[in-house]
Amino acid sequence: MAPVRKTDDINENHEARFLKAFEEYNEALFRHAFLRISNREKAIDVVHDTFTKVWSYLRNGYEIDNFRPFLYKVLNNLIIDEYRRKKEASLDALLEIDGVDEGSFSELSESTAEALAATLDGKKAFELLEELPDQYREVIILRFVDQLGPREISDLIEESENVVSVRIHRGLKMLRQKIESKDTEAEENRKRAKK
Amino acid sequence: MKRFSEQFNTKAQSVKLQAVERDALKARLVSYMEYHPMPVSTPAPRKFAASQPLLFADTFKVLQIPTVPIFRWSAAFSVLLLIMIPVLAEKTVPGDNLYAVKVRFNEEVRSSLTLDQHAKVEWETKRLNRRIAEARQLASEGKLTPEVEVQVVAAVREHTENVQKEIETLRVSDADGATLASIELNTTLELQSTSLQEEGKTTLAAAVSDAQAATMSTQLLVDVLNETISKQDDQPDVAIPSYDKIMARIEQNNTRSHELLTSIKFNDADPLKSGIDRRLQDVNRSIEQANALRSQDEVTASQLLINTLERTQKLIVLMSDIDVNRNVDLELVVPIILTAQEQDEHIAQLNIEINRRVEVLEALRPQMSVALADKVGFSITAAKQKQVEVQSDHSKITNHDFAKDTLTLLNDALGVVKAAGIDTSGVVTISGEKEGSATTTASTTPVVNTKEKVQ
Repeated sequence: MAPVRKTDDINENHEARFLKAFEEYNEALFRHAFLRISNREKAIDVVHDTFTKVWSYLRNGYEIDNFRPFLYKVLNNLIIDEYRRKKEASLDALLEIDGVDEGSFSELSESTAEALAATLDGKKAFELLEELPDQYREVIILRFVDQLGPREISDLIEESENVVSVRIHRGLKMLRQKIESKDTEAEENRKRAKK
Repeated sequence: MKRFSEQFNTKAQSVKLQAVERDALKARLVSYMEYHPMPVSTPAPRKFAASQPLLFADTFKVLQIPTVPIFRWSAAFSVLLLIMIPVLAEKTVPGDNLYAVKVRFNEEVRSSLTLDQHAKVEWETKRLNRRIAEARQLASEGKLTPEVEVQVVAAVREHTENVQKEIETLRVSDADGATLASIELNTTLELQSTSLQEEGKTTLAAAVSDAQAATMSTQLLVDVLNETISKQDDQPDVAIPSYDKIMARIEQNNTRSHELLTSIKFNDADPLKSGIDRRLQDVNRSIEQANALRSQDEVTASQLLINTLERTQKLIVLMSDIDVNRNVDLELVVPIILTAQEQDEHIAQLNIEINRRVEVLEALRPQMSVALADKVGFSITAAKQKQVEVQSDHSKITNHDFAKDTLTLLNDALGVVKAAGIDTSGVVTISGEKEGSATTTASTTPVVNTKEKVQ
């Protein structure tokens, strides 16, 4: 039998680990939330709610081995809740459109996604992120901002790895289209100005 | 990619919580934690994604039924029940705990799995053999009580009836097959009866008390077997099966007996192994003989084949329970068939013996009374006549018998002379050999086997 530890010790240990996790991840979680919902106040609230939920979970006597995936999971769920509250109809419609798409071969390959990404201007893409539908924004943020692997993303959003790869690929494609259309627009504006 | 993700990420890094915001957030969280502290008595740590806490934990007691171990144990137990026990039961004899499993489960299952009519007959015959083998094993251990013997006898009766029934069913579809099966059954019964009797004699002689003799006697069983045999013999003769069918059957039996022979572990130079080997060679020779004879006389050839079939059948039965049959006199059950060359040699040997006796008798004749001399003279003439007949006739089998008869005749004559009080000291060497004469002739045959005496 393991030596009996005082409850206080255990609790302190829990608190210490929890606060450490807060220090470690608050910035990243906030960034993720802000990029997803584009509202500073709300993003802070969502991060706060994430941590209080995790705390309640710990209080119920559960143990968490690895905080990062757990925090992301809770945050993701809360963001979805937030969407529901904000634009119920549109989100439902959005979720229905996609379904499970098998995707073409090129869309499933990580290397083609890399090749595609290489043609993009990161700064411009970031500016346009907000214009993407949430399901693409979600995976692109998780992939390129939070730097999660396809496997982790698939665990987090409860979709298969294939779906994740397809979404990243399509998201990047959309970004490119948007960049291109922006560029042509700017060109035309310049031409008009010249005249 | 790198450039993109670097650019993208640097841009993303610009999204930051301001220090004020972070502090405010932390303050909110810490105060939340203070309002909702960890409970003082923490329940035992539960694992991530553990099942829901039980709502009625206090009212109802939840009995955890360990299904997995129960399943494992019951699986192991049924394996034991279904495999181990029947395997163990195979070796049992009447009176053992598992004997019922052997007879009522193992054998019945096999019976019901046997669909082919031929195989059914064969299996029932085998069961019959198994019962008798058990009885013999018990008898040799002195454990065959009258009660057990009655049981065995009942079982033997039942199996014999079953075989006969199956044979009758078979006869409808395959008359030849049925006849062959019936021949095989008879041979089996005969063999068992003979070896039981033989064994009975030796074991009874070895028995110390009457009680022991009672537990070793198999007389009841012998009676039943003989009764069945005589019943079978009473049945009207059926047509001899076709030559090819008998041949096919013999081939089958031949293969089976060779298999059995290789499967049995003999010590080196075991006389039984060489004995069986010799019999199998005999069988092959008989087959050739029958094939040669077929073009001239198919009926005789078929009969020869049937005889051969009987011999192979006996060998198979013998080898199937080799441990029980180890003490059976092979020569008594399946006599050696001499080859043509061996027969020639044997006859030559017998002729030498005959000539020697004739010489001795001639020499002693002057000492005899007139009546005796006449008698002896008559014997000598008869013997000489027979020798002439032997030389003129070329049928090996009859020659052999003739020579043997002659020798007996002369031996009798010598006996009479001795009884008349005439000194036969001049022939002591011969009369000393009288009993061993057969052995000396037999020793000229290639198979040297002290157990086998050519009668």
